[in-house]
Amino acid sequence: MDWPTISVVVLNYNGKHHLQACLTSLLALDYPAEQHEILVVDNASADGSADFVREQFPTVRLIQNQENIGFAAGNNRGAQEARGRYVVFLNNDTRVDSQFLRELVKPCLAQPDVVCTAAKILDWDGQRVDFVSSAMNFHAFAFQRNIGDQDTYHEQRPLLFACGGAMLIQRDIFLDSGGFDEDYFIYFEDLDLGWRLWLMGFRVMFVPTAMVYHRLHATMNAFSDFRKWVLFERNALITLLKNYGEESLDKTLPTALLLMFKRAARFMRAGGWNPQSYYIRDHSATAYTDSVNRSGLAVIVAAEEVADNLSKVYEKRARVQSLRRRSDADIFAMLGQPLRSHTILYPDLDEDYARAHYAITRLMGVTSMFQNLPRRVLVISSDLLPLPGFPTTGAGLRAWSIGQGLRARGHEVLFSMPKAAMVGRSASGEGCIADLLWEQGQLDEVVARAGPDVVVACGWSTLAHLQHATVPVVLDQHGPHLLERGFQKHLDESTNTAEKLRGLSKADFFTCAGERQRRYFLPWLQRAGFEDPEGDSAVMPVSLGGQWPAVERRDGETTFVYGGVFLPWQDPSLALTTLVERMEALGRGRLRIFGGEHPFIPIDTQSFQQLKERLAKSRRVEVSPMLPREALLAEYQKAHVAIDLMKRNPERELAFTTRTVEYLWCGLPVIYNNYAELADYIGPANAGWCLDPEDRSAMVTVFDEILLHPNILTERSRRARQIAEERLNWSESIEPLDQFIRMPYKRRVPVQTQTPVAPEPAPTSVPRAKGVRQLAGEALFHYRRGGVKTMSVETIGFLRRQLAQRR
Amino acid sequence: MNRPTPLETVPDITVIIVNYNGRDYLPDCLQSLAEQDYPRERLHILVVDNGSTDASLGWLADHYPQVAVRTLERNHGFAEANNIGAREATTPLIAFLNNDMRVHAHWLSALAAQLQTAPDLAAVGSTILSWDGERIDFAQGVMNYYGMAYQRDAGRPAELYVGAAPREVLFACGGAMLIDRKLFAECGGFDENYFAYFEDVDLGWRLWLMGYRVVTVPAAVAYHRVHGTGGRVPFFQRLVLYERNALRTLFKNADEKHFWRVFSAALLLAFKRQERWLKLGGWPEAEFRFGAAVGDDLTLKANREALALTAAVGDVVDGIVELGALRAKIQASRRRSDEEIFRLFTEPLRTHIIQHTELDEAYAVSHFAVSEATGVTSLFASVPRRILWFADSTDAAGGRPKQIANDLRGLGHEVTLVTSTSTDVPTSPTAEQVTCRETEWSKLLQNVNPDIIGVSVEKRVPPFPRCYQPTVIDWGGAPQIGASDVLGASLRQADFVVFSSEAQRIHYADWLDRAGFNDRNRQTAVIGSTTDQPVVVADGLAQLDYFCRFPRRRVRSAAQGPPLTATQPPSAATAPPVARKSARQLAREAALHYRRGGLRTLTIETLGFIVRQISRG
Repeated sequence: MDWPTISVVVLNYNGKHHLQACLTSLLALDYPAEQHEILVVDNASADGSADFVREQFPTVRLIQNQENIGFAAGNNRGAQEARGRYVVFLNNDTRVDSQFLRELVKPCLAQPDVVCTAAKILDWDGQRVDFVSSAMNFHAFAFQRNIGDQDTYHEQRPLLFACGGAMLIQRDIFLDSGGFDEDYFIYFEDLDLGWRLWLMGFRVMFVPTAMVYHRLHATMNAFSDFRKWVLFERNALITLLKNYGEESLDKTLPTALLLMFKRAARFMRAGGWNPQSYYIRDHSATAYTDSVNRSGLAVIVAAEEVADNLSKVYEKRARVQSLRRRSDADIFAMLGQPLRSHTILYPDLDEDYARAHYAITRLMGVTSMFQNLPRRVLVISSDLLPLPGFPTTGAGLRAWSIGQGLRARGHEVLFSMPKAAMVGRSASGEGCIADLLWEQGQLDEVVARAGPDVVVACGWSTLAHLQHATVPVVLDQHGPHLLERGFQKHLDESTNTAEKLRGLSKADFFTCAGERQRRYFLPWLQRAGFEDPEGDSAVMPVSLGGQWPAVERRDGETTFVYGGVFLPWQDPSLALTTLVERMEALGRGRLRIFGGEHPFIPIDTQSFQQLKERLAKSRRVEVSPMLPREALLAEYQKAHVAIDLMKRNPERELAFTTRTVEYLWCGLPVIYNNYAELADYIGPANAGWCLDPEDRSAMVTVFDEILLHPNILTERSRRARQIAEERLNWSESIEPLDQFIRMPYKRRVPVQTQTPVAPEPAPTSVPRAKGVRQLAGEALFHYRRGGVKTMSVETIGFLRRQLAQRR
Repeated sequence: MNRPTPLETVPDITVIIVNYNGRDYLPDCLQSLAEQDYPRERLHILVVDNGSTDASLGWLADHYPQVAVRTLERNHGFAEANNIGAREATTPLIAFLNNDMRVHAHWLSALAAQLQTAPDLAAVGSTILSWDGERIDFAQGVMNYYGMAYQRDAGRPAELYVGAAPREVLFACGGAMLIDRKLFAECGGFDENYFAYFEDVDLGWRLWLMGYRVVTVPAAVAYHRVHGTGGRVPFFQRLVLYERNALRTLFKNADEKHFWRVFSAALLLAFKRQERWLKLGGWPEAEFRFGAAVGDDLTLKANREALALTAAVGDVVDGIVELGALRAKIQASRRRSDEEIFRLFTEPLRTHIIQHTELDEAYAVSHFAVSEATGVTSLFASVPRRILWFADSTDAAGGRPKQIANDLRGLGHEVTLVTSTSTDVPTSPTAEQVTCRETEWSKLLQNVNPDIIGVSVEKRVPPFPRCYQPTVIDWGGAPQIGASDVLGASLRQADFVVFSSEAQRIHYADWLDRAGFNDRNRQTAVIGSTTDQPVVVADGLAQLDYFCRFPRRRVRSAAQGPPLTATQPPSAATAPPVARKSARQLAREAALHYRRGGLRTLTIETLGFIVRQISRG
């Protein structure tokens, strides 16, 4: 192989203590000696760096500047002096792997449009990630992604820009393109260069095999170093002005400027400034000066500097645009997260800023510029996800399916589930990523780590744990849940109500499983502060999709199935007892029950246990524990008909039962409740039977018909599969959520529902006392969740509530 | 009038007076309404009291029991109180009148008569004079492109407007106007979020874009006390209202087609204004430079005027959803494009000046640079400019100033020629010509507030007032050996230079360079005297016209010192030193001049060089 000539440029400013390690590693590079050179550009260091290099590393070319001309100009100087066909820019506080140079240049040799490559930058020990990917939002703020991750990034892939601290670029193209913009001094010049390269029709590539180790410094405290903020703000604005095409600039520029004002205000408010005294009815202001923090003023300095030099910036813009060989639309996909809002780690102010960010970007047409791009979505499940080997729960399956539906629309989906769900289980793969398991009080950190564009939280009880969100949040509600808590004897009604309102108030958009649920939730949404509950909500029927189970010939004895977690608000006893009676009477048929206690949440299921034991006495009944999903589906596929009749109660009326959809999906006709919403799907389509679950004679008629004439199931099985495919399929159902995710917003007024909007009427019935068994189960649950500490906190809380009730 | 006007053509009118602690003003105001020549039975008065805490209400009950009064519990602001009055009224027409005005007896009849002249007339405005009737207070409302509105010609003699024909205007002053009640309600009335200031501008622009027209009536005269109701409110709070409301006006009304460009420019300049306020407060800008010594104190005392902009734009940002909905509604009702309305802005490129300091000059430079870079300047190129052209006399340089003024008028601009006199008796001013003492020039400039300033310079540098407008120097005299210092001093204050011949332009090439004129094509022109090269006239005039339509302000060298005046003799000491040139360089320059303009240019340049060498001794 012919290795091209390369010049490695190390920019140095008062970094003598770094140079030994850096230059030593460079001298040890595995690259033909005559094909590369090493240059140190010294920005007038005062620590004797230049002499050090001259004496200790005589083979290194030293270029001395008379003053500190900054990062951009210093590296440009290096590139001009360089003799190689390629030039590598390397920070002085790094050391390189011996294969670094070979690996970094390889992609350029293989693909002519790759003219710039980015090294993988790890921490000094090679344990954690420093730079593996680059992204920016629409106003040209770069995000550092994946910092601190374990290094699992082994794929070579295109990037918006290479980190200026360890990159390679073809020298003539670098110089022709104008190099780093020297007016930046420092920060974001690498982003600007990367964007320009894409615009010129080239590509930038991340090379995971080219490794650099970087000394990590204390991260910058945004609040204290206001001078850096001048540069961030100014350079981002210049980058935006230079690189967007005409049409895009029209929309992004005023939007970015409005947000700059908002950022200035955010900084000032973080420092205690109160804008209230500036409005005319306020009489509190007497002094004509006001104390504000300098970071807020830094934003003004930055914008003003751009305004003062606008003609020059537009001249640069004209030059950059004249190099354009690729349209904005083709570059947008590289931006990464164009809609992401900027944060400064003041959660409440950041949330307020995010509301403005999303409102403005939507209103000004910036959101729609990027609506065709895939988003990064974090789906937070309240329950165990149906991963291979795990039992299936309705809520977990719902969350999983939403994620799969979004993937089918092209989005990048991350999953999070409760840490408690994983206790005693081990599995690998997505959804189990330790960093993304959530527990009470840590949901905000999980969201921050995932860095999504949109959060989809399943269940208001999950969302109630989220303190602040700077991204749009969708709440998906799988069932009413407040009623369920009543059955579950979980806390008292007013506590539940307050928590429910708190959870709902965190949401910007609301989805639920059925029309009836939506009707039930609309007043709740209103109470939680939704101004337009109908506009900000949608129905997504419980759906499935992806790999459809094959419909096999079902031979053998007619088999009924009943599956799912045993829950106290479900009472199938009359139907199941009647079925067993008929099977015994006719001497035909089998009933298979797959189910048991919830995998990790302690719920009183004693009545279920008794029913199960009673039924199991019949030899026609076979009771199996909860099965992993794939095993369960295999069993369903062998069965003939599902029985899903439960005593009517308010919760069941609203439920859009997941298990039922799963039956239909497997081509099982369902004997279903005539009062629930899914009956509107099953009944007219003849995909089963819809009965009054308390009408014993009607049941007998149907059971006998099936047992005596099993061939009537064939057509209904086909119909079952058909409505699942046509109406309960994610490829259709996901539409409203997909739309929100493409055009996301944060709902306008944040309503802090610390106290319920109206005082709750006294509960008509005192919750039933919990059994000893359940209490023990709950204690164990809390212990698993957070050890002795959590358990004692919860226990004390419980005792206190009990005492309060007695009084 | 011989016959009384038939009553059915005289519509009922409710005059709505918003009062806030105006007990002292009400007597004159109501008295003047009582003296209207409008039929008494057609004239109704409604006072909307904004929660006054003075004796207003008691006084009204005692003296004008027949006047309807609507009492509000607190101050709802000007816009909302007027809307409340309008909703309360039942007459076909309503008039808004400030409580600190009195009106001429013919005021209402004149307004009503005018309003009925055309069906597309939505509103008519008054000509508002000072209390004594001598000076203009508010005769013509104008606006710059970022929504800041001004009272054109305020402070100038009343004769300029009284007796003139009705004039189309962007908006009528909300303090004395007449409007159709139903139309007012239909178009949404005053935007109540404004509280006060510029709600009338917003209304006017909205009416125009909906396809209606607004005119002011010179015969409808109101007199306004010079005072400050607003003076009781801290300035920074008023500033929030000005800045916020201007931005709201722009956001709601600007045509989709150019909204983006204009809005970006407006925001960039808002930052620049904010920085101007900070600098006025004397803040340590240098500490914000990267690498500056880091102080421990992370907070800073800033003046509230600067922070008022953060509050103002913050308010727009926080209300952006409602504002967007409002904008969508207004744009849906558009029946006339902004291109047709721009001329009514009248001063679209006016620089927003605050304190008349050198900071304002820096602001003016940014103002024009930002406007041009964002493409805003070109939107308004077709709007005629108001030009104030100063000269020693109309006869100077063989009548050259008069000639240029006429030529510019021929291109559509409004040009007033100002000449000096040494007598104390000024000739009566006309729109075309004013003669006054040079000491009065500065005040005249402030009152007239032209878009462009022109100065014909002959033998001396005229007394330049501090100005923010793009300025043209006309170097009308023949090339004069030794006059270079006069020109040099003038050039520093100019943005565009007109020479009377190409030879002159070449002659002064060095002076142009030293004054920083680096874009000869856009910064200079040659307009020959009528007797001299008539062929060049058209070209030069076109270039001057181009400058007026695409105006710029140069960055004027900080080292220029205070403006030079004629009383301050130009001295060699003030001229920047010129380094001695080597023979080689001289030869190279000679070759350059030869290539540029042949033997003639070379000769002129060489002569000039020799003369300069000699004069430097």
